[in-house]
Amino acid sequence: MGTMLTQALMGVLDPISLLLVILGVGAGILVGALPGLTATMAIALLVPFTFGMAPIHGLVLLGAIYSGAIYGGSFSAILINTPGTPSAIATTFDGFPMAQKGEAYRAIVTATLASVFGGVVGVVFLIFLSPPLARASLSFGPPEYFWLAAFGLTIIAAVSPRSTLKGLVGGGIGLLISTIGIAPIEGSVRYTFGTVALQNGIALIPALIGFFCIPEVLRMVEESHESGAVIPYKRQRKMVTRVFHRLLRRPWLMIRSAVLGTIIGIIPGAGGNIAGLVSYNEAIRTSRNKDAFGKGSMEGVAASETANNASVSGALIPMLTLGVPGAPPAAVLFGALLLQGMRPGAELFTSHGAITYAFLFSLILANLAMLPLGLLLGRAVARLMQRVRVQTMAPLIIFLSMVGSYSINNNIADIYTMVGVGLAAHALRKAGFMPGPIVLGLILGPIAEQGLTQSLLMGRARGSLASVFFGRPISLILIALTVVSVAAPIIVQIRERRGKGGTLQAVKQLTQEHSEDTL
Amino acid sequence: MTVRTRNLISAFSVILVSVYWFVEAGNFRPLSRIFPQVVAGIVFITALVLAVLTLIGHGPVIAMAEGDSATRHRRSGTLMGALVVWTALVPLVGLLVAGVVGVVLMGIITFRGHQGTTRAILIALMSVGFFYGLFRFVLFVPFPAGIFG
Repeated sequence: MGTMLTQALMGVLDPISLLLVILGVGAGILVGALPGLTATMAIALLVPFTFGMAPIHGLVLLGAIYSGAIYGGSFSAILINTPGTPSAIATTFDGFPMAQKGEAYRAIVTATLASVFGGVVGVVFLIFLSPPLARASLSFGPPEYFWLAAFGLTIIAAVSPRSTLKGLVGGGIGLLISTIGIAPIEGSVRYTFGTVALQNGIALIPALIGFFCIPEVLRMVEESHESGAVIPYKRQRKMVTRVFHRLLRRPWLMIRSAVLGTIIGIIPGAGGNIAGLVSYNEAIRTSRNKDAFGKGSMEGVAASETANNASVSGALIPMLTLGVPGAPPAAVLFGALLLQGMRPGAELFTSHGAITYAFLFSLILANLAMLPLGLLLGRAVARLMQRVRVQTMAPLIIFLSMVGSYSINNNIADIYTMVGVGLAAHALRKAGFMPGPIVLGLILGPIAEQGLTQSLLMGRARGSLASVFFGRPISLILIALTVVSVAAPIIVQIRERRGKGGTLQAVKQLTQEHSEDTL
Repeated sequence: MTVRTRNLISAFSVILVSVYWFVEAGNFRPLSRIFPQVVAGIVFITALVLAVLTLIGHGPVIAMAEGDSATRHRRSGTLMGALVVWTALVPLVGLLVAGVVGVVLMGIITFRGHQGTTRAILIALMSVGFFYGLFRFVLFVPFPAGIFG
């Protein structure tokens, strides 16, 4: 263990890794700040670039971009009242009013310090929770994996902001797509329509690029909106110290937001947007000065930004330990791990321990790097937000999507997969089916199928299917969680009709009003 | 198109796909067919619930984007067409030439009506050249060259 941690530290402190952290965070801030470009899109486009890198460098770069982009979303939320990423929705509620009052720099400093705090707390949870969870995953057999997949799919539907039913159908569509290709057991060739290229199934990385890049590009061109006027700001001396002291006086707000963000990040489908909204709602609920929220409250910005950056690491916990991504960028990182020959689970913390821990340590560095980079690059980012029309990047994003899809296997069929999936995802999005649940279905499909068929074989051998599916403690816990995740939206709906929705109703309503997409 | 019509069309499309998936699975070996059939069954039921709820007026209501929908759909349709043409060109003329044609085509569609169209397309073309060079000569990716190969 000691040697592994030393190797990890050496890996993360080598000059290339440090440079990649800085580049990644800087690029992430820029991507996050430009509305229309998302963290998921940036990571999906960059995965093929990292294919040729050493695994540690590739993961460090992707992790830094992920962290930077979630933080970068706060810039446009504060300066133009448009969240750069869905995670920054709650930041607009108080960030923009602060900017309107001439406190834009104060809001940015608050968002920066809160993001750093939330991000670091999230990584600490990630470092301490992941290894024991990964070890626990060793006690998972086929039935547990089957129920885990079922839980993952129902929970994402439950937290789907637009429609639980459409979330469920979307997850089902993803599962159907996952059955394309040669079956894992008995080897039947399924749904390939005679195409050899489909025999290995839908290629994951081209599909992820298609799901997360093409619909975004089509939407940005289709809507063709101009970005709003950017509120100018000037740096003020000692502002960082003043905001720091103010936040120190609200330790519970910060700790609660960080913990909430991490926990919500762990839940598949509930990404930074829900983390930010729940935390914001809790900040209002526990505040003595509720009226200040929505009018430029520093606490509102701090609650949202602490939680959404903490959710980054939260989303990585189930992905690294169980192979269930907690958010769309984590789903793409899952693909990047597979590409590097690393499978989520206990092995990541043993055989690949040095790389995995180096990646986790690099996330701490990435979060710390946000402080100087965010404050130094802030005004340049604001100028770019004013000048760059994201639509001008549409053709380049499509070109990069094609180049990236092709370069993984040097196979032209991957370009067809990417474009086909992208166009289908665009059509499905128009019909109200978001890419998140479909992608989760696609990722969880093989886990669920192997779990189901192997459990059936075990049941036949033992002469009792029920004892295999319902007779193991971890399975029972997962079944209970699945039932709760299906029942919860129905209960919320009933309470909603009676006007007793509480936090969940408020969050769902805010998400529906402001969010385009969750996972 | 109203939300109700969209819900119904999508629900019935998904029902048709799930029926196909279920029936087709009948041709596979027993253990290869279980999972697709179970999933197709679940998708069929959820899509049916979606259709029924929509028909009785309790379907999910998802707000559509604001603005002129006809213009939006026209732009989107043209862009999707351009993307298909671009993709079809790749095996014929190679990734670089198809990329140049695609970027110009998409640039015209994307930037039409905006100022600085030529400049934006030129910047996009230079970026294409940069990234092609990066992958081709630094990462040594053997891109298809089509008739120019």
